[in-house]
Amino acid sequence: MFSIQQRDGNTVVFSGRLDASQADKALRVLDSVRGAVTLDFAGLDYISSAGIGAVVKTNVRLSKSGARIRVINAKPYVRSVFHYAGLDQLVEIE
Amino acid sequence: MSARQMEMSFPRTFAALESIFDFIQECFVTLGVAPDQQNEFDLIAEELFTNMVKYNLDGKHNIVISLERRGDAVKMCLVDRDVRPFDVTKVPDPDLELPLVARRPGGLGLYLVRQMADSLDYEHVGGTSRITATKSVRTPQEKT
Repeated sequence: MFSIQQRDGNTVVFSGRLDASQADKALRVLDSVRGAVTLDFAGLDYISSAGIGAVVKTNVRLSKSGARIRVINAKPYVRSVFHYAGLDQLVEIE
Repeated sequence: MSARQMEMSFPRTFAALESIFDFIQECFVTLGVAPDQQNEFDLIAEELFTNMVKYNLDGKHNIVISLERRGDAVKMCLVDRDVRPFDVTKVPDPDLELPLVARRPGGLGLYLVRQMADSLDYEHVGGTSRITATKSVRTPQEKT
């Protein structure tokens, strides 16, 4: 079960498992984000390349206006996928 | 089939992923593998399965996934019939300095598979593709 929710304008909260069958759902919410955004991964248990793709696509779009993505509360597995994908060089991970 | 090997077939749709993850969870219990390693096997299965779905569009058959415990390792095998060759071990690594949209399709997922698995083998015989990923595992009571 995957859920994604935008809160107070600049924080997007993820929970559950973000696999290829859920990437479009994630992208629909991320596409509505404007300006700098924080992705709260505290409840995110799983991510694959499809979810990474949604984050990268959003990062590319936001970076055109100088905005950045910040990731917080990523669990060790999710953090390792970001590292392997080289995303820890593209987005700020706390 | 021995109790150390389990097999199931899945329809060629991303909607099958949840059933695949459930199957791997069941395999881990039966094969005595620590559950904290499941995400890595889920990712390997998802990336290989979705590649078969996306890049073998003419495929008509279900994709068969099997897991087998061999000592301290698990071999996970995905088999797709009546398909053209697509050697996943020959796909070059993506340029991680580029945004994903500029990378070769499928490159990142297969790159992640190579990072997670200890070895990855591919064969295409008589129209059947067989991809085997092997990874060392722990039993539930073992500590890292």
